[in-house]
Amino acid sequence: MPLLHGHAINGRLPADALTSPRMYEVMDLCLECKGCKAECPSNVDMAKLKYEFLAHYHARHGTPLRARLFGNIERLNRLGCAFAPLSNWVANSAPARWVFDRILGIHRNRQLPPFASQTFDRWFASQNGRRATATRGPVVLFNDCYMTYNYPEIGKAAVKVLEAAGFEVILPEKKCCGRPMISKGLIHEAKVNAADNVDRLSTYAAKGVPIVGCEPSCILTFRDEYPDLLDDPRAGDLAKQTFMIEEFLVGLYERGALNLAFSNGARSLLLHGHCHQKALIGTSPSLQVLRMLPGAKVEEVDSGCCGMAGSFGYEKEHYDLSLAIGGRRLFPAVKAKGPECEVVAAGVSCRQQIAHGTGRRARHLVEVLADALA
Amino acid sequence: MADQSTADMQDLIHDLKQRIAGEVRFDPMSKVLYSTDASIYEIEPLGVVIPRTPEDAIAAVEICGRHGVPILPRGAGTALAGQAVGRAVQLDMSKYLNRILEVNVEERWARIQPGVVLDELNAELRPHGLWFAPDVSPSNRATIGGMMGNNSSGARSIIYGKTIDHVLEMRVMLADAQVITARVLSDAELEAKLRTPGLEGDLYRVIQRLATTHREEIRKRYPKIMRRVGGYALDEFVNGKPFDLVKMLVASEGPLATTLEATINLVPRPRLTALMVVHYRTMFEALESTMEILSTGPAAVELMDKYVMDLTRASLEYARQMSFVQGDPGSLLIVEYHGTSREELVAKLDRLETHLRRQGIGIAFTRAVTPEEQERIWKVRKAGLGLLLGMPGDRKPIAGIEDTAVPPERLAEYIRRFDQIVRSHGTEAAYYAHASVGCLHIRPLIDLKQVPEVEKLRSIAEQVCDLVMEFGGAMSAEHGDGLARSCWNEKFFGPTLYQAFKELKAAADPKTIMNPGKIVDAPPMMENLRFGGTYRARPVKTFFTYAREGGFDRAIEMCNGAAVCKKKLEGTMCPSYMVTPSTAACRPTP
Repeated sequence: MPLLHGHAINGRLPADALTSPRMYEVMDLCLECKGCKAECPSNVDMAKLKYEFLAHYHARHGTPLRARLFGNIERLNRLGCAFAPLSNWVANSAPARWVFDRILGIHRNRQLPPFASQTFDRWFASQNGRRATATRGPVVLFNDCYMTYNYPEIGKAAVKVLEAAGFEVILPEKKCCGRPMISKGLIHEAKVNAADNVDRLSTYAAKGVPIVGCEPSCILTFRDEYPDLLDDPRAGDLAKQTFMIEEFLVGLYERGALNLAFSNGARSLLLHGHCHQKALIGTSPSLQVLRMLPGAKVEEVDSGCCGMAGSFGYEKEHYDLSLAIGGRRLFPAVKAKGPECEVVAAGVSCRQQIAHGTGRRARHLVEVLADALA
Repeated sequence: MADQSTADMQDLIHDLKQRIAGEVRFDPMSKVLYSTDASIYEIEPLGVVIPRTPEDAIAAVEICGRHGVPILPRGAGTALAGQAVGRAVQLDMSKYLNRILEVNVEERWARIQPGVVLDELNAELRPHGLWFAPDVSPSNRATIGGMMGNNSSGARSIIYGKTIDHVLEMRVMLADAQVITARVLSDAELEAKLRTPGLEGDLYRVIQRLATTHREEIRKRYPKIMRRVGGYALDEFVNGKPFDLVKMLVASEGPLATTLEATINLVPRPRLTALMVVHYRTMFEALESTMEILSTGPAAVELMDKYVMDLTRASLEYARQMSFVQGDPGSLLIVEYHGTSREELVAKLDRLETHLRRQGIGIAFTRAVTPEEQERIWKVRKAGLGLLLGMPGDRKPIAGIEDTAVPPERLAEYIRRFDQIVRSHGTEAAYYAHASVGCLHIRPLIDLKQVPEVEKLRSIAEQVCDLVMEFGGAMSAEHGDGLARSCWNEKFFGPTLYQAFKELKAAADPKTIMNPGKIVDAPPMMENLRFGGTYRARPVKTFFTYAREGGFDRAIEMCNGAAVCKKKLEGTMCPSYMVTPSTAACRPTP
């Protein structure tokens, strides 16, 4: 595909080929998984070329409503949570689904993520004064939108694990990481958020406070996209201080600085790695951390992409393709496991897709760790 | 092959669309997608036909023939010398004609369509303990049809030979769309073929005549090494073996016929394997020890040089696989043994290590006995080529003279001289691959966007051609002639044999419509470059910065055509392509 881009810039195709409908047709099939960034021997980064393409395409043809909606999912979430649980009922009602399907092109078979009645931030604030005593300094937990508005249990689990490891957990003032905007080609909006987050979080990074996150595609945006979005050296410094939670824990473990006591128990775990994590870090930190659990039998499935990829699997025209991708390796591997086996997936999209394709509820690694704490 | 007028093209497209059940694509973007392969070349095709059935392919050849329009068959497009590009209608055999038609486990053969991917075939065969043995590096996307076109081999050619040694029978279309079967013939059958009228008979007659007339010249001029694939394989018809047209068609790169189906030989997979990675201070130390290692009976001896190792360490994916390298050696030889028990293999590794250590050869040794350890090492070795191509900056280790081979006992001496030629041009080269058979893939670092550098490559190639001839070697050992090496065939084989090649081509393809410009009548080496001195990227105002990539244009130009994005069996890339080959988000099939 970069060949098409290539010819649009070398003059063999007309300049407007870069934003032509035919180019859209081809680029539309890119899930932005970053598989190529790692596995292409030349590390061609199609995901980045797709965001760039979408931005140019929207500039020429206008930005569709659905792209704006998905790109600004944080606002939608905030609104949804304000009216939960009513909003959950409304969002998944038949008329609403009809509207989503017909007007917005969101496939009617897909369930929207639940809006939490008590957001993670609220819960965290309510815990104030009941914190465990920190013995070893602060850690910033990047409270991504899904943790905040949809799945606060993940945030609670992360707090439990980090506090058990002796850290003082700080929830920063922040904006959405910008990943949903980037993936929809809303680059100007993403830059605004990125600049804001760099302003707020670099103060921690500069003091050497690590910033850890749970949702791979959110936290890795700091590492992979911010330096390319902003002409600001602090973005590079921040990238170096940003970690996925398991990466952070393994780092401590390797320095002999991790004291977590886990209960015994025969645990059978099946890990499905998130694409961005696989591309940028690999799954070995996840495997290492899970294998710290006494008696754990951990298996990884060479599943490739789950097929969900954020909004991709929600989109009507991608629904079948999305399920075909999930059905290639991931669904059969999950279905082959009995109920005693727990499915572990760090990505919110991956978990949604697993639930949709297999009926099984997968959990985030940090939830498994928190439960296993002695 | 003068370009067709618009009206003629419209007629051609009309006729193709009438008859072809598969895809007929003549839009600008489809043409662009088929204008390159993994070589340094780029030629926009006239159009693309993606046959859904063998009948589609036959119809395409017939219609193109009637219109006098060239046609060229294509597999995964991983060719390194430009075989798969040309001003012709591209016939993409990989998308639909990729079925395994029959497997006979008892008699150890399979009947396949040309678009079958090597790894996918071998995955099917694994439960039977069999495989198609020529193991090319791009095995996860390379098609058997493409391998036959080039007469590919791979790392274990000392025991398995080349593709030509494993093809039993071919069903091919000739230039007049007549479908014939090629296989080994008895004398009586050959007599009958020689009396057959038409193009098939012409092909038999011309081969017979040329082989008889030029017997001495053929014996004198063809390199006496296993690893040679250049030119037309007339040498296969002077060795006293029964006449087998397959031997001419494999390695003919499409100019004689187009494959519809093949019956291929399968061999038992090795029961057990083990690897020793021998570390050296310099590449020359490694090469000088090759003969010592060969005396221990390995199945493969593969070189990795410092360039490849450094680039591997810089790759996100492959850096994680590098734990088998101890310290920072100047070069590695990966030595593989086959055996039937673990004890036997360990004994072989012990013997090798003792043997080398006693002579002071090697600075460190890593063993890989478990399948996982070995897989990791092969994965890195196989990724070497793509990693080289991904070298950042405009100076790239490019293909062109990357496929020479010499007798293994003279390899070290040859490489010293080769390196001198490269250095005398003010550059250096990356070296990797098959030390076992005297075939190193050598890639000088050249910036093909600069006119003087383009000339530099041509000059290096010319001197290397002389050097290869001096050493009794071959210009093409497994990658074929294509656009990069066909131009040296006249000099290399001499005027008599070159004329014979032309007669052969003219007899098989009187209208010159079958992949023209390959093997004979090729354009000069430095024409049709993907970049070239006049290449200029149009500036684009971007939303992201591309500082890490060196600019938006560089980010795009990173795509080198190696087509790794077409792999389907492992990893994450490319999810869309894995489930619908028609819709790859990345490069290959639009």
